[in-house]
Amino acid sequence: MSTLTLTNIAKSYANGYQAVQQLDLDINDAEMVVLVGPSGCGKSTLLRMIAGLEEITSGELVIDGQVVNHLEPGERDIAMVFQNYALYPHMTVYNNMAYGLRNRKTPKDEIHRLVTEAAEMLELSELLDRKPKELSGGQRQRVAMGRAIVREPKVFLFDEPLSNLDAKLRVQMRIQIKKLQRRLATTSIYVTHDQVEAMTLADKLVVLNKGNVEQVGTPLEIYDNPASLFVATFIGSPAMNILDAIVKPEGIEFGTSLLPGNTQLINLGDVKLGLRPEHLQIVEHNPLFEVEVDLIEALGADLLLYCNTLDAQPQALVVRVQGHAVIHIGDKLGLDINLQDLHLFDPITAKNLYFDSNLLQKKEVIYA
Amino acid sequence: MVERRPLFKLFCHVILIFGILAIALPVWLALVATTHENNVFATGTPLWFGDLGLSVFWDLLSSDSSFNNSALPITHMLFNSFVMALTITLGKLSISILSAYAVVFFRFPGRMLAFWMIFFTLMLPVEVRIMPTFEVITNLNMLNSFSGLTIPLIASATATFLFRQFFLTIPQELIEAARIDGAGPIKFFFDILLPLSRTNIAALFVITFIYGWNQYLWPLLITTDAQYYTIVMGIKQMLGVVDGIVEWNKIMATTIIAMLPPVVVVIAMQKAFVKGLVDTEK
Amino acid sequence: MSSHVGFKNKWLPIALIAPQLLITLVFFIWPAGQAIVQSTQLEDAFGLSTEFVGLENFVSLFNDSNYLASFFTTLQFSITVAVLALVSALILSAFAEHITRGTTFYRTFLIWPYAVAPVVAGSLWLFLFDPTIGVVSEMLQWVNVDWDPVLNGSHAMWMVVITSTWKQISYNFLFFLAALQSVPKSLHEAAAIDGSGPIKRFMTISFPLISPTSFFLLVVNFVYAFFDTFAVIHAMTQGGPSNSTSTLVYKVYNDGFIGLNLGSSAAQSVILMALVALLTVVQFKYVEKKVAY
Repeated sequence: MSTLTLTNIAKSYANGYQAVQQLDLDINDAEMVVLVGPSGCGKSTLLRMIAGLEEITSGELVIDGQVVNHLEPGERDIAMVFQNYALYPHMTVYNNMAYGLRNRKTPKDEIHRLVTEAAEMLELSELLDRKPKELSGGQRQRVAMGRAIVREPKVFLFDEPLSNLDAKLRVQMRIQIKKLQRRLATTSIYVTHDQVEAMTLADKLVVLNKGNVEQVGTPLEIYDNPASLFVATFIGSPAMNILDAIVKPEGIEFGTSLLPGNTQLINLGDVKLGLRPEHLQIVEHNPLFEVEVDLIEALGADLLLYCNTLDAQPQALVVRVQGHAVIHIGDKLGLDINLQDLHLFDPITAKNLYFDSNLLQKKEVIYA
Repeated sequence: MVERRPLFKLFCHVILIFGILAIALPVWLALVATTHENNVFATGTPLWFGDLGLSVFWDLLSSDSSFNNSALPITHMLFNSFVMALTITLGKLSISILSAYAVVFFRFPGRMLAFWMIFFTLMLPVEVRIMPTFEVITNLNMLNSFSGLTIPLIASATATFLFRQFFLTIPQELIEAARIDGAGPIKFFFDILLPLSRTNIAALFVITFIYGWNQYLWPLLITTDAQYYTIVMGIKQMLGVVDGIVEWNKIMATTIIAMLPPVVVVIAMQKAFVKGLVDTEK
Repeated sequence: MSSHVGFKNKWLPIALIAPQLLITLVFFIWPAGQAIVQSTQLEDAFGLSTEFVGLENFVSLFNDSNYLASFFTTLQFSITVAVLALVSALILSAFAEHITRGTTFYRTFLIWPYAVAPVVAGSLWLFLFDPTIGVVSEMLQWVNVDWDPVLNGSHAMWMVVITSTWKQISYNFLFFLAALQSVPKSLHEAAAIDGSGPIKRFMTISFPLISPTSFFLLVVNFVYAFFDTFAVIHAMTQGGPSNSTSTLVYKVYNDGFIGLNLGSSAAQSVILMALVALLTVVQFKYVEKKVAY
């Protein structure tokens, strides 16, 4: 039963570098929060501040109503799973899991019970007497999880725990982590740069960029309504297409095409138009605009078409269509889009214009 | 091997066996000498064993009184050597591992200064500062004492650097995991760092034990009381006979006794020794 | 210097490092400072008063033919020891590298002299080199050489050179062998396909590739010959006959401890410190290079 409140948390280094700037975040009990962003966005620093491995420059970190800024990591009642697992090489699997409990003076039979239970849960029972170097990558990863679980901490912290595994194992472990977290109902904070991992694991997704929170929400909220150009291009694969466009009184113009509509709520002038690859539909008649196929990637279930608009200044974009569509390089395609699927971003602030003005209600107004 | 050349291989073995024999020659002759009566040497060095067997060794090790002008029984000198070598070894290992721990895992004011001071000692072997160091020992009343024999020798830049180098290879996350597991600096040191350093400690043990056992100039400077003579010094005392009969059989027996402990340590801990030696100089 | 950011305690690390620093200060840095101070002082004949004489001690050292001779002796001694010890170790390791079975056996029987104390080595070889009963003098009789290291300076020099070399071969052997074994096997295979035999491969591939180790060992051997051979000389020749084996380190000991000429001994110490400092810097420059590889 644990909640975290981060108020005005900031981290700056002696050389003046601001790793995290004035960040606020509330984390509810039993929630799985994923911090995602490119490298250098401050996600790891934030996690390490919560763990107590980095000092908090300013702001307040509260776990269950208690300010923990100045507590040692060992006193915060948290557990962490590291990217390289950080297992103690000279200890057996059993001792790796038991070490933290012993340091907390847990009674011996209690330690035994907790370790055995966790080992069973993680299918490690057979491996308890092995040393870490005798384990495979996936097994080590599970031991690292076990070490966190036995402690029954208030919060689990995961620092890119899957990035050292191969692709197949990563998917398996991802699912296992998700199940485990559901079952234990322990508040968790998970750091990753992999947006698929982020989407699949998160109850609440926090997108970070350059030490700032870009957006907080459920994975789908963020996917459907990215707050900024950064979020729009970071979440989703392949990334959202961004085209240069101009807002005119009669509608939005890009290239030679015009999306007619009521634009009175938006400033006239340049704008960035965002279109997800899967939202573009190939139409036989009355296309909104036309493209020429430049390259095709077959993923099996889908085809990714890399196209250029047929304008004087062609713009590149990706279209996702069903896997067995009969399309060839050089084909000219007509494309259309549902108006509620498109995104407009301010070219200067990079903010989503819908989002800022409560898009969902106003969409009709604009495109009546 | 890249290709098969049986003759070349045989040649390699021959060369190496020749090298081994050449290197072992002095010890062979010394061993042979211990089995002969001393008057045999008047007609030249014998090349094969005589009929005394190990009796010269037994005499040396069992007799309470010394021979010649060395004032102390061999057993006592051996004891002194062991005390000195082991104290130096344990002292060096402990203070080096502690200082390396401080330098690598803590930030504290004067850290770099401390590091450079330790580095500086590399440039100051006993041999180059004989007189002033002797004066310090005199002023501290450490002449003719085990503390004088050992304490000044236990500072070690080399051992500190070796530990430091090893500590730097320990992943940062291991310390963090330990901190999250509630281990403070002392617990971390004993529960994690020390067990992980086992191989390095073994390697340094060999090198340092040899260093301590073989000390010569230092004991020569600060012991005037025969009570503190080590076996290595004892040999020099025996060689120092100016007039009179040199008892080669006893000298050679003592020589062999003096070289045996460090040689046994090197051979028994060969693997650790080789690794340690090559690592220390990295 | 890179370092972990570990624990935050302020006093614990200072307490941990204190013993080492204390010993360093009292027995290393303070005496070194004293040597520098004393090297600028002159003591009167009775040891009652000292006066500051600036660099006079150094000037008189360099005008002292004995000191210059000792310099030359040291150089001669060190170069011979280094070359002999390096060449013999290189030959042994080059052959040892080709051996697949029994490597540990050979290594065991080649490394033990490292553990032998210099004075013990001196004693062993003194027995062989004894002018009346030694095996060496007996053998030299056959070629009509009248071996007498007690009176003949160059004989004495060869005696300490061979003894010192004997002790150092093990060390060099281990390093050469490690370096040779780290030469990628694929290079040898490529050269073998190009038709070169083991000797040619050693000359054209192994030897150039281990040149950093060779250079490093050269420095180490110099340091060894300079500073670690005191006991050999003290046990075998006491610097004699007529100073022919009196190296710089032996002279510092002899002038200071036996001759009680403090100012001169201190000045010699300072010069030696400068020499060690120079060699240490050279050695560390090399280490940096190796790290960059």
